[in-house]
Amino acid sequence: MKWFKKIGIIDIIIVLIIIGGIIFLINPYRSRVNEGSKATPIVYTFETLDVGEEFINQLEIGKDVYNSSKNYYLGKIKDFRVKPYREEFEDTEKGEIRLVEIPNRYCVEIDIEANAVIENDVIKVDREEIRVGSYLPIKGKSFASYGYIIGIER
Amino acid sequence: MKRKLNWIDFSIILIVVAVVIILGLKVKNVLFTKSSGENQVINTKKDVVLKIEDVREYSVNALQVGDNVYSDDTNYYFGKIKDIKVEESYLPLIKDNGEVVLARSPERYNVYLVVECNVLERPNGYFAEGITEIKVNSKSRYKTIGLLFTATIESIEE
Repeated sequence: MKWFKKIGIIDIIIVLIIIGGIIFLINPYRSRVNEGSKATPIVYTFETLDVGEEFINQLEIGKDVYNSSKNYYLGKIKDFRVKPYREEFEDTEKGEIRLVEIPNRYCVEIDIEANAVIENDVIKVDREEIRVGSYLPIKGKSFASYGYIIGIER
Repeated sequence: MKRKLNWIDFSIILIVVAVVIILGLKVKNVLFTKSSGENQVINTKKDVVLKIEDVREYSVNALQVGDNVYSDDTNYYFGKIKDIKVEESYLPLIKDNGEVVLARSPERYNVYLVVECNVLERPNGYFAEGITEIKVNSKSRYKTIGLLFTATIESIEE
């Protein structure tokens, strides 16, 4: 019991701070926060990186979308459009850069509707800040991808 | 019954002292924005031009004159967009014959943002709102309500 007596007040404070930090980081009840009176409906567009047909087959209007690394709720799929995936090709003979379509690969523009809290120049859905150019990992019940937000309607 | 401080206690004290010093320096910078003369500090409005390179049209559409710009690293206010200029993006390309040409980067643009900043001028540099350093040729991440972007400071104008 000698070691126990050596624990000082500072050590206890540190342990409490660490426990508090861990609870703050993993607390699942903080998800889907206030969709109260301040919530504004928005629709934003997420563009996936290149995906295959198997991903597209899993998309359905009305499905919930989450941030797959933080588990924040991002909204519901309102609509989606499939476009051919294109990569830049440097034509060193002609001296030009062209966009060429990659066969059987696609990028999907997914319109997501959500209730956002807009204050202090920040649009927040759950705890996710929604901005064009933000890189997000997303997931639904049966699909996952990475991509960028490319448009916000509000 | 006084207990000797162990290394954990020392680390905590050092961390607390470091945090206090950093906060103190930040507060000092903010306070200096209101002073002038004796501290060789001048606080003026200047136009800072940010260059966003080779971005797609959706980034261009997400910017609006009047939007507030913040530093993405610190979350501090940087300035307000006063003007937006957009031009087609060209990238250097070495042809098969060794000739270097500027090739049009397809569907991509360069954007010049004129941002009106409250600039604190000190002997060691310029600071937006007394906090965010403004140095020509420095690259940093910024954000507005609608866009997150990386930009290079192109110039500081009166």
